[in-house]
Amino acid sequence: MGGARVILCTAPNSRAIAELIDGLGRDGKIIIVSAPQDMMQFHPGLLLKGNRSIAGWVSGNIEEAIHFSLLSGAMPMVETFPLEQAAIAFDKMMAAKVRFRAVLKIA
Amino acid sequence: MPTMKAIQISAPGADFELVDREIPEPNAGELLIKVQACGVCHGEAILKGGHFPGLTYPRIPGHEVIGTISKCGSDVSGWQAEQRVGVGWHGGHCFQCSACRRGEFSACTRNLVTGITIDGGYAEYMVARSEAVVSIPHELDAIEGAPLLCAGRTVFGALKSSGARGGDVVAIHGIGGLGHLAIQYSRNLGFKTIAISRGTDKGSYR
Repeated sequence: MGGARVILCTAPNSRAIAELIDGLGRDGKIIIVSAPQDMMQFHPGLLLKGNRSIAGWVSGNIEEAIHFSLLSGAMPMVETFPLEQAAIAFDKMMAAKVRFRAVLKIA
Repeated sequence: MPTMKAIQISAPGADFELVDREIPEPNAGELLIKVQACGVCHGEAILKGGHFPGLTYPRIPGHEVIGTISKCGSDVSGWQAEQRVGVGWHGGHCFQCSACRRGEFSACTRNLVTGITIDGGYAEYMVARSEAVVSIPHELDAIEGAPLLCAGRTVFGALKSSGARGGDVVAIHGIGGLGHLAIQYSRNLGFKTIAISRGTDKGSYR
């Protein structure tokens, strides 16, 4: 099927992201939306091959995303916690153990 | 003064702390929101770790908020009590800097960040700038919908503006809060979608 047109990286792992560069097809683009703390190392020649690029992305229109979710049925799967258990929810999220987004149910 | 329950971080490196706080009063241009639900985002690690210049503490985290307007401050137009609203990462802008004049409010040089530079939604009530809130449709459940305020809009915006077209191969790396939404969006945008993750414990997610 050839390489990917886009690889959207949501996991903050620089090494794993670098290993994905060669999975891009021609003019393919890696988009990073979650910032790892460690430096990323890769051979720039991997970008020359096939005019690939690596980009970052923040932001996006909230109302458009909500509209598309309601239109398509693409909805978050959430695990709820009471406000008092915010620390437990946070630790579970940091350990990537939540299925798939922790939400505090406050009222 | 009436009080509310809130979770705050008192200093860089400190743990979440359950506290009673006075319910804040909305100033001019602000709304008091009765919070129904708030998502838990990796961005909270910035506040917890002090990884941002100029942070002040104590601070209430949380930037995936859905609730209802409890009270409008003065000089607020277009919003009224009981309306459903949401607040994301963007907490407000100045309308005056060059980015704002170009309409790029998220790039405002004096922007406020919800739950980072101003108090967020880990509380029964929060104050938000009226220019930063979005309208929440009635058919969107507060708890299920809260993650759309940050995780959802981030991955949807990234995919929509990525240049990929129907039938293209799009891979999603990581199946967490952002990734599980990205997989659904990618499929619904008509991309041939591949999920990439470590291990097999999330392999059954479709």
